[in-house]
Formats: sequence, structure tokens, C-alpha cells
Amino acid sequence: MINDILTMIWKENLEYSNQSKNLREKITGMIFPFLSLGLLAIVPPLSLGSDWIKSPFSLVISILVPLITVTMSIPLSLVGERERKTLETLFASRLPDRAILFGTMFPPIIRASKISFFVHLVSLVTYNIAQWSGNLSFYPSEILFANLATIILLSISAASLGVLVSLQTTSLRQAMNYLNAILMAPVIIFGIAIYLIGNVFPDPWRVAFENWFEKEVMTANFQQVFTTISFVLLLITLILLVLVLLRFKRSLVKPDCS
Amino acid sequence: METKQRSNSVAICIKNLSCYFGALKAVDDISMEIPSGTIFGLLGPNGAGKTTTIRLLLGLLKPTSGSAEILGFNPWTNGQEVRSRIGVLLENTGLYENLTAEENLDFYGRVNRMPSVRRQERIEELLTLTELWGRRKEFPATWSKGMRQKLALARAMIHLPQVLLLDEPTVGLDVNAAVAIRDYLHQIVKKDGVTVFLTTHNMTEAEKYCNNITVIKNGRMVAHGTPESIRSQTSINRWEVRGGCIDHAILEMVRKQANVLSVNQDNDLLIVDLRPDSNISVLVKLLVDEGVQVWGVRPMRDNFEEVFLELTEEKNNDK
Repeated sequence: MINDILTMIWKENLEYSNQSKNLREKITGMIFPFLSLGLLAIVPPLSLGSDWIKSPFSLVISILVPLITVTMSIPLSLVGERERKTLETLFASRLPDRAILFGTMFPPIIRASKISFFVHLVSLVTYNIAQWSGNLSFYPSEILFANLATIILLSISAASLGVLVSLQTTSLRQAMNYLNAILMAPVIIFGIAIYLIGNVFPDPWRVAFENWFEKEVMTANFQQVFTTISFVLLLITLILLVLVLLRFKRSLVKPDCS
Repeated sequence: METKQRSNSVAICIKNLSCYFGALKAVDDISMEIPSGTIFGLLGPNGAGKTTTIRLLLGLLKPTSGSAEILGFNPWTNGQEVRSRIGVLLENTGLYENLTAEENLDFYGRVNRMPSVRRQERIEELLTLTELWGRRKEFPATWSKGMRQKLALARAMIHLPQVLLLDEPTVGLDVNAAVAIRDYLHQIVKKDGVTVFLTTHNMTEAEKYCNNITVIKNGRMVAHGTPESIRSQTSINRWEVRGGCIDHAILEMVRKQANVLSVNQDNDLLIVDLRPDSNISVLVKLLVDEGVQVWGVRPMRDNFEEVFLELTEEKNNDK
């Protein structure tokens, strides 16, 4: 099984590295990593100063990079296999369902983790150059752990979500649209909630909410908040993984997009 | 044990296999046994159920009823055992456009757990056979349909499978390439005892290369057997009688015979269509008795395409 997964990973990585065949494609392919570096690794440490390493701001890297990288890659692999009509031949091979599944999921997860670590590293170098105090500065242990856990859990969740959406869609464009909608949903719901609390809810409700927020949330320490969020994220990750394992079977997957 | 014994002589065994999609009967009660080391052809018009049959044999679809065994293994309960012993070329070539020709073969060699050295030998052997060795570093996306088909066929054979399932293997190939592929298939069947299960629209190919043929129409078996036996299942019973002294009276006499459906004359040649169960010898004796000098009698073989059309149309008319 492990050999089979490694074979799939070998193929996925080879396809990924062969994707950019000409200089134009290679340059286009570099836009996202450079944009990530500029927006996440250079600007924030310069503008936030010591808050960058002492507060949870750096979690932005650990949230955005895996979400964007993994959710863009999985449909490219899975729906792409179907669109290029290669999935049925793959299913006709001796590879077990799970080797195909994990072999498809792991490369984007590993890639997202590598990019996230690299962006963190550059941000720390930027911070140390800008705020040099004679000693190297690094994230406190709880921030470091929070970043590591977020990268891993979010990458796996995003990969599982990508697989589930890819199984339900018939084209790459449709899969991308669904995933964008799913990822934007929490932001939209959060925005609507803020609007409702500020403008629609009756005053007593608003006051009650503000009191609860100041008492419970503002006074909670980072470790408590993060432990709760991590637990919820872990639960979501496990549920998505189980769903993917149940759903990804060659007898259930439609091999082509027709 | 019984299964293993059977697998020595019978490569593929299908019993009352059916697969329905709602009201559509894609495959309807098909039964056949395909001996090891033979080439088997599944013939049928578009939508007859050929590709569905292949998907069922691969374990990619579950049957509504019936059973199948490949090399003694059930494709739905022992799918991995089946798939590790067979090579497949489906409707679409299934080639990765972002992998070179060599990498495409290398991937499927790795999938089938071939050791590195053996893999490289086999890649060279197959790419040389298909005349693609010089282009092994190219991406097949830019190739012609025929070249991609040849590469896909090489991929199907990379691990020297015991059974090859080929869906329209020579479609899109030029005549030389198609002949080369057919000859290679014939050679591996003879030399290595590989069993080839192929679907085709090419009737000449089916007749020339297949030991056994099944014709299906609307998911149902219309005919099964050797090409010769399938010919005999049709109603065509046409004979050519060459002789001297064939005049108008003789022609009229032959036309009036109860076992004669039609007769046409072309100088000293009579073309006679007899009823399916009739024997030509009775007519020849009559001609000799009437003073005709019979020089030669031989059956007229119809184009196999006509046999196929008659078989499928006949069943259509029945419905």
C-alpha cells in the first residue's frame, strides 16, 4: 500500500513539474508564490513590528496558504484526471482505491506545508532584519504550535473537501466555483452576523452580546481559544476524512465527465 | 481449487451477466467462456453494450445479476487480483499529457511493481515495436491519434499481462500500424499464451484474427462461436455453379426447384441462393441429369460485414 501511494505521489509530482513547459507558464506559475511572499512574509512583519511574532497575526499565513494551495490543486488532479480521461484507466489498474486517494491528496498537502513553512521563514528573516536587537527572535512556543497545527489540519481538511467536491462535480470550473463558494461562506456569514448585531438586533440583545464578548472572549487567553479552535478543526478534519474514505471507491466514482 | 483448475483452460467465464441502468438493459443475460491463449472478439453496433461488458469485467461496474470470472477471480470481490493480471486499453487512451511517452509507460510499470531494470527493458522493447522509441521524450498530447493509440497499447502490455482487454484497439491506426499491432497480438497469443478480449467494428479484423466471436445487439447475444460457425448461423446459402450448355430452359428448371430461392446467370456461371437447410448436391445431380457439363461448384462467401449486418438486423426485425 505504501509503495502504491509513493508511486501515485511520484506521478503527481512529475505531472506537476512538467506542467509548466514554456517560460511564460513558468513565470505565471511563480506569481502566486511571490505574491504570498510579498503580502504575507514581508509587509506584515515590517508594519506590525514585535506584534508579528508575539501575537497570533502570523496565523494568517498558516490559514491562507494551505487553503489556497490545496483547494486549487486537488480539483486539478482529480477532476483533471476525469477531464483528461485518464481516471478510468487508472481505476482499471491494480492500484487500491486508497492508494489513488492518498496519492492524490498528499502532494498538495506536502506542497502547501512546504510553501507555508517557507513563507514563515521569510517573514521571520524579514522581522529579524527590521527589528534586529542583537539576538535572533522567534515565535513563542504556543504560537509556533498553533501555526504547525493549523497548517497540518487545514491542509488535510482542504484536501478532503477538495476531493468531496471534485467527486460531485463534472468540470474543473464547476469544482473551483463550489470550493470558492464553500470557502467564502464563513466570511460572508461572519459579515452578515456583524451587520445583524450592529444594525438589526434590538438594543438589549446587542448589549448582552457585547457583555458576553468582553467577558468571555476578550479575557480568554490565547491558549484556551486556540485549544478550542484546534479541537473543532480536528473534529472537522476527521469527519471530512471519514466521508472521503467512504465516498472514494472506484465503483462509486463516475470515471468520466460525460 | 476448482477455480484454479478452471482458470488453466478458461481465461474468462461469464454466466448470465446483466447490467441495467434503470429501464435500459445495457447488458442482458450474456454467457460465454473464453479459452486461454485465444483471441476473442466482441462485435456489436454502437450502444450494443461492448464497453459496459468491459467495465463489468474490470470490476468498475457492478452487475445487476449474473457472474463473471477472469483467470478464476471474481472482478467484484477480487478486483485487485483481476486487475493485476490484465492489461487494458479502454475507449480513451488514458495517457497523461503532462508525462512523456517514456514516463507514461514507466508509471504503469511502477503501478505493476516491475523492478527498475526490467521496466526499462520492457519500455525499450515496446517503444521499439511500436516505432516510438525515437520519440520517447516527447509529450503524447501533440501526437496523432494513431501514435497515441500505439503508446496506449504498449502501456497495456507493459507488465506482460495474462489477459488483454482492448476496446477498439486498432481504431484510428493507419493500415501498416494496424497490421503490425494485430500481428503482435497474434504473436503474443501464440508465444506467451496471452488471452486477448477485444471489441471491434472492423469485421475483417474480427474474422481474420479472432478464434471466437460474440455478436451483441441491444445488450443481448445474437451469435457466438468461431467466425465460420457464425457464418453458418446466417441464412445465406449462396453457391456458384460453373458449367457448359446452360440455356434458358435449364435456368427456368432450376428456378422452379422448391429449395431454390433465386438464380442468376452470367454466361457459363449460375449463382444460386438455396434455402438455409438445402444441400447443393441435389441440384448438381439434377443439372448433370439434364445434360449440363458441370465444371465446378463452390460456396460463395459473403463479406463478413454482411453476415454481421444480417445477424443484427434480423434480431432487430424480430423485435
